[in-house]
Amino acid sequence: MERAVSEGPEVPKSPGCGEPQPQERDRLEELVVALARTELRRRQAATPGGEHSADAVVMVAGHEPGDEISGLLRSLLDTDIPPTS
Amino acid sequence: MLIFADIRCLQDHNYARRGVGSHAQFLLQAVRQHAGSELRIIGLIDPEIGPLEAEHAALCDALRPTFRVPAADRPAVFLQLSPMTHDTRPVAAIVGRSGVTPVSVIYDFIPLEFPHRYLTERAGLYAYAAALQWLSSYQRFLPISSCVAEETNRRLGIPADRIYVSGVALRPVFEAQLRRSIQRAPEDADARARVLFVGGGDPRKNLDAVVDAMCMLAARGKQPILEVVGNYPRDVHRVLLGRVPNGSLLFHDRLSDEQLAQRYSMASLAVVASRAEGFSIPVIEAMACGCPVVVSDIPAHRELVTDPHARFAADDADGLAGLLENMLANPTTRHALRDAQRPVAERFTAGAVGSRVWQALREPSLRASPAPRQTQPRIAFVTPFPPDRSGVADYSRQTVIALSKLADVDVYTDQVNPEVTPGVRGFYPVSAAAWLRPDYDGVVAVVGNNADFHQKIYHWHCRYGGACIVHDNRLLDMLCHWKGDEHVRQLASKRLSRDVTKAEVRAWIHDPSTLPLMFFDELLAKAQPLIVHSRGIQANLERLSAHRSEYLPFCVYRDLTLGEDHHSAAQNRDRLGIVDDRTVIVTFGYVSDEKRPDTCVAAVGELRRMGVDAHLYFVGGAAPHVQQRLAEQAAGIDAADAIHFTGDWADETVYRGFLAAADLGIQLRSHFLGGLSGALLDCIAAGIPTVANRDLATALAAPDYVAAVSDYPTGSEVAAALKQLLNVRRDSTAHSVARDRYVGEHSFDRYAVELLKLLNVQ
Repeated sequence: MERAVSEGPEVPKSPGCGEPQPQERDRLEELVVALARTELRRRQAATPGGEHSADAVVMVAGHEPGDEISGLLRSLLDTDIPPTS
Repeated sequence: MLIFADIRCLQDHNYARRGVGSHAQFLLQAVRQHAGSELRIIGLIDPEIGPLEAEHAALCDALRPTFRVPAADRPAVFLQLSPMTHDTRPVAAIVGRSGVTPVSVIYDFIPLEFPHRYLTERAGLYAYAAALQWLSSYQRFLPISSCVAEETNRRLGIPADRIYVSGVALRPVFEAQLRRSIQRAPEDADARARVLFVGGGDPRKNLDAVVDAMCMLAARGKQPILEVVGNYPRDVHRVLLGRVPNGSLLFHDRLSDEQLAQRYSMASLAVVASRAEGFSIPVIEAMACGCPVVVSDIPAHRELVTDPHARFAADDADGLAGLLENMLANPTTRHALRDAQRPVAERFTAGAVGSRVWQALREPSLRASPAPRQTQPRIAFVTPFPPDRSGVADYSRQTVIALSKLADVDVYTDQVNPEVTPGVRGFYPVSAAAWLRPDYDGVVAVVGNNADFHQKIYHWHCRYGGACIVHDNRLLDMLCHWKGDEHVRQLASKRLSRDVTKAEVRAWIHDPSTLPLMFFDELLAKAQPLIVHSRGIQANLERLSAHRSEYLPFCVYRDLTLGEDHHSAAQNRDRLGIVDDRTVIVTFGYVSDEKRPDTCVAAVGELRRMGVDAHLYFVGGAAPHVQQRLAEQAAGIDAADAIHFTGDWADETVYRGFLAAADLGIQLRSHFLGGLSGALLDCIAAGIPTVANRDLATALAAPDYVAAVSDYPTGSEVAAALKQLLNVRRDSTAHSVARDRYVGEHSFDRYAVELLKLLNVQ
């Protein structure tokens, strides 16, 4: 989106600009949380494919099963979300 | 209608006054204007980002520092005003929440077009990918242009009937320009033409191409003036000024809207050369001001500038130079372009854009009342848990047992082998999931002044917020142990508005009676609500932090079946080695100065001088040097044989034995911020007439058989109170009634009902 008024330099289009310097672990956790939700929706809709996408990200990012971020994923995947309209 | 709006972009100075913030502000105003009095807007904020300006706070009826929201009792919408710019994790708590329809504005997908510029860092890539994933979870979409709508459909597979193109509204100054007839001074044939460029430091805005084109014009003997609006760094000024003839390039920083409108009105032509945009505000601003505009040939511009002769390829400076040369040489062509373009701006008045947004939100499916709840509420309870050796853990277990009769409860604890507990649906390790799962109607963080058990819970609560039960009257020790004295020193300095030293912090730890603060501020910022078990803590929070906390009576959490134990009092005395008819006075808990053991000894000495065969039992651990010191004190008042210790530790059997065997109790504290005492509660529950200092007695709303003495009592004062209490008979009916009433009022079943009310989930 074009800037609205001429104040200050353009904001880089990366998330979290107003926060402390983003930590990679936090951002990975963001992705895991988002992927867990995607996975839940896939299960809910019984859509084939894409299984364990969040697990894959955790592994690729170098986190081991059983560590904190994996524990978070496990808990999130027990979420009971309502059907989408 | 109820709207929960993510307004973090308005807290963030990087966005609040730019396109995203401006559009967000407009949307909230427009929705309110259309919905009228039936609308309530709750602004969801993150206090860590920074303060919200009053002008932005006024857009909302209330602000909420957490994305955890209670179950809606009317149609509710979660309006995401800036889906790609801030931490997406809090969103997980509300997207998917039953009865809340998520709707998102979409600005663009530009980082996907230029990943080598915008997605080079792994952290940024993760975050952008997360934000993209979340977009698919929304139910309605408000893209700012048709081309973004098309991308939303193409990239996310969202069907067209869930997409409502809003456009972006002209700001009031420019909309006012639209209402004015074009009145331009006659052109002076000798005056140099002015070309206006409104951009910014991002190379995507493509100022370089425009400057290249100006250089080509100069080479052809044409010398229009290029006016650049935007806050460019000085080194960019220097470089670009060096490339064009003197006087051909002007920079304008920080123009007001009025000043910017004037620049448009005075320009012969505006040029917008961006390589990519979701929407292009300078294009409609120029149109509204009656300034013809030529644009780069990108999708967002094609929607606004339909005449292909007014477009150029973004990287074709030569083509732009030709277009500028032609336009500047032909006023008739420019005027025709201006007249053809001006009606386009009419589509972006506040009324027009507002109507389109309201159309998306007034859909019947979004206005339907939520279905009545079919199931019990679901609660995440985050706490230490037995066998953790913590009074808080014991208390939480009792709470969970009672709560499970009314709600589905998941317990989040770092105790790896949590004690089997009836009613618990599941155990999970402590993680953000407790706060982020939308299937929980409430999350309860249980916090106390012990870093081993509470630092992780405290961390996540402070990140995501929600209900919080705090057990202690201070969090100093936990914070010092976890974050260090320096962190605490800084917190205190900020809070007290003076430079606090580390020595002071150490002194507070050593002697909590000198504490000027409770160190609850970080906790309070995200507490919805903060729940305390002491009227004293509640009052002190209001006094020190102007924070209104909720009070729940501290429950009797040790099962003391008085009748049976009371009848076996003599047996208990035998078992404990108490062989005569002496008056047994107990004081429970690990013996430390904060419990005023010296006052207890002095009181017993005084009582003995009154002719009472009083013996004092310290039931709990005591360091050898403390035992020795107290023994010496007792010897000095001729009471050496009347002071007894249970050793390093009193196990449950010994503890319960003394509860049954005691005639009187003493429970004193030397810090007065409304702190609780499990030991005094046990004395009350066991029906032991007890002397306590006033702060402690008030904190527990103690019954009549607790005699309150001053907060700094002398031994004589305590002794006089004990003497009075000797008249209370533990086996009398009146005493049993008073005790039973207190236990009933402080039961976990009652507590669970009141807790659910505070969580607003019933």
